[in-house]
Amino acid sequence: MSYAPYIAMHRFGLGSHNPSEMRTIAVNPKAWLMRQLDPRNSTALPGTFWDSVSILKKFTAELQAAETPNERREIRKAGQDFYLSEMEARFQFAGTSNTPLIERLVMFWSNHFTVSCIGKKQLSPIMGAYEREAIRPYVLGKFEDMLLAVARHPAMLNYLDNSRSIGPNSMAGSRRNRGLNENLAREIMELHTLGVNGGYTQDDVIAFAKILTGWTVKGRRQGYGGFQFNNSMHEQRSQIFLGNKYDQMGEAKGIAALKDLAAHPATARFIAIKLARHFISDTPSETSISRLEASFQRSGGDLSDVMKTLVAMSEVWESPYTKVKTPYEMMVATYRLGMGSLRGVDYNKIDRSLTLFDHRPFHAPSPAGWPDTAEDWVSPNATMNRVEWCHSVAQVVQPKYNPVDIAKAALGDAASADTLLWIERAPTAVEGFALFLASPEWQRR
Amino acid sequence: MVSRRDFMKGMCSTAVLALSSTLYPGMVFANARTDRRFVMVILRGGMDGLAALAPYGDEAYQSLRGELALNADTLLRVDPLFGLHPSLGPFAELYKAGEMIAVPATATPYRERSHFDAQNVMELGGLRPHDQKSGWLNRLVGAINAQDENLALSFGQNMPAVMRGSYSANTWAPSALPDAGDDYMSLVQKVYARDPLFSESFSKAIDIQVMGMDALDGNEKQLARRSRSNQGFTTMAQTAGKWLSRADGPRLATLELGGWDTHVQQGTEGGTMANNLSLFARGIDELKKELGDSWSKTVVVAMTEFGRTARPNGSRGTDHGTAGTAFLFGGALNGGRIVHNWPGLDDADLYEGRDVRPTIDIRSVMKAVLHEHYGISYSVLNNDIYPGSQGLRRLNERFIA
Repeated sequence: MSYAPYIAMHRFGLGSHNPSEMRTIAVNPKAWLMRQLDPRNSTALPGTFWDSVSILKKFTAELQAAETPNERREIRKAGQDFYLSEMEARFQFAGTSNTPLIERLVMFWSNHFTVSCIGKKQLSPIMGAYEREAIRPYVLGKFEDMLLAVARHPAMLNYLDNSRSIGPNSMAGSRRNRGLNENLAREIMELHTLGVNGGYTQDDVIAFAKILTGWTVKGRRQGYGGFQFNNSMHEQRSQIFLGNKYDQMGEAKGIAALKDLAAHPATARFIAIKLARHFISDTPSETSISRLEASFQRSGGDLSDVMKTLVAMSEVWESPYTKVKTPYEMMVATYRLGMGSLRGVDYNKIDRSLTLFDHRPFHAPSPAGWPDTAEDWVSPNATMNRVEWCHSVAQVVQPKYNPVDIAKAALGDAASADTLLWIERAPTAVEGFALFLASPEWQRR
Repeated sequence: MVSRRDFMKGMCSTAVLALSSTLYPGMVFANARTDRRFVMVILRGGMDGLAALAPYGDEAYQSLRGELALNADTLLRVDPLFGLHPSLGPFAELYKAGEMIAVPATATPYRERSHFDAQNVMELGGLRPHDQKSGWLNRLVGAINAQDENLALSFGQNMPAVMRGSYSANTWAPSALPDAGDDYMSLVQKVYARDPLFSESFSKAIDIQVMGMDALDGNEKQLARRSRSNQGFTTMAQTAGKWLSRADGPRLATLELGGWDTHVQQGTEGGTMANNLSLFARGIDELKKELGDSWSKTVVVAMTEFGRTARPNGSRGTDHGTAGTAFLFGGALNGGRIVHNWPGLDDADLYEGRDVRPTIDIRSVMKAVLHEHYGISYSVLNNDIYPGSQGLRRLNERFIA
């Protein structure tokens, strides 16, 4: 008996997809993961989408032109629909992709570099574009490139208010009596790179905020749209940041600082801890963290290399069920079971379910993103939600096969005899199937 | 036929059954439950204390706050130095009734400016982030009655860190999902038997559902909708009040209200900050109404992880700061006062030249409140509730009437 296929399929993947894929996984789970980590693989979301510049041009211009509250309401509604169609494509691809590890990495990094509509509803139409443009291209690439793409993306610049941050001694600053906003600078260091114990001070926050002044989003005069470096907002003076002097001109100052943050040893450690917590257990060993940290540093933040190091580590394969699936993962895994009636489900229903679990993509409660340990996801209330949700899904599915067989096929050796016994004893196929979905084996990974 | 309620009771822990007055009418408890209520309202995001409670009597106030200064004429001037934001009308009423205390320039021992570490210190009650393994409210369960499994209840989807720990605590939020069948529920219990985390969590969920059937006469689906609206806080506060007022209800509860991280355009008499303050005030008002007679046995404390910069930032908002303002409410209070050691707002008075300087440690307020409200000894407070706080000077104040 081996738990390795279960770990590959659930902890690294997003659940079972189809029988032939499951046979491939069973033959060599590690190789199946390693193949997905080949940096030549496509990490793009299939389909045709608008880019963030076009979306921003459209919605900002329309909102500016709107004359009545009713018109503005209509435009916001259209923005919401835009969000939903993007999220539908994202969910369906996660639910059918042959490279589910890549999709999991996309989710991981989107959460690491959280952008949220909570408190910033106007961002909802560009959330999909943010992930497609700033996250996806780099999940098997360099951390530094992802950081640079995130820091100049209009979604992040607006979410963490840098688009309004103005150097106190800049042209715009002296003219308009506006000034610095520390939000993005602080959170890049605390949440995206060094970590809160990464050894920076309040003076570093201010210096970095000054370095990033002028990193903003095109306004009316530039025709709205994407990133622009606005030199008149930029604090021209050189800055001492983390003990180093930054005296480059303009945008180059910020690029240099971000590159130094990406290469900082504290960043390697912070990312190593987060990856280990996501893929090994809520409490990964120091040995594993150090090895990931070393891999990150050795490879210059090559995320494909780091993931390969992770997959090759023995601790990963030691025990199953170490992690609890998030509600989104639970829903994707359920979708991946491939039941006909679920495949046709209206995404609005999934969106409502995600709302119920407070887990709509790009609606995290804070810039820290969603937490990643079991106790954050398994309160009594959340458990009851899961149990009831599984039951309502089973009623939609109305399974035509014996749920014991479904559980065996989906979980392989990982299905415990106890769980199978209780599924067997369930009075109806609907209840048996619901029980399989609610079981610890399915709820964990 | 067995009713759903009876069926669920069959799955309940004995602790809940023992409490259920409908099942054992007139039952006398060997261990009398405390009738004193304590509610913590967690204001996540860093509430701007100078906007909630403006020190209009401080000569530096108007110029320091600049475009964020509130007009003294619009303030609810409950005190010669301090005035409440005009959106906090209900608080002014409570103040007049002796049922409110505000504590400006207060902070936890944390002196950095990360939301997440600051919340960790506020909730775990330690000296530094992550130096405690449980929340101080959870440890309070142990200090009040470790046997009472129904003492503590968090209103919301998730259990906040302040309530997590080894003593029993539960969470509740209205469910929008259809009830699953009884057979299924008892099978789930069996399937979870070998998974301690899911098993404990599920049995607590059953307990709380059974209690909820007794406590909430309302339509749960409707509650679920309302709790997700913009006005969700008032719905949850109302529900909490209803539940806390019951003889078999919880005694310690948490509520949460976010939206305080006002980096941009926070507004003055109107705007985002004003709207959020007004929601906060209505929630407390609803809580009082629903508590009815139990209000006289209640203390509510509302606290935030840190205050914000004293001056506006460059975007008509405020950035992460240090000292903030805490509020206490309740019929049990000796209130109608501002408890403060105001540090002043001149440049030299500000902490690191930018934030309101902390002059009262929030733990000394909480220790006094818990000592007077529950009779918890200072040795328990210093060792269990707020370890490492024995050096704090006791406040020369009486908080409880």
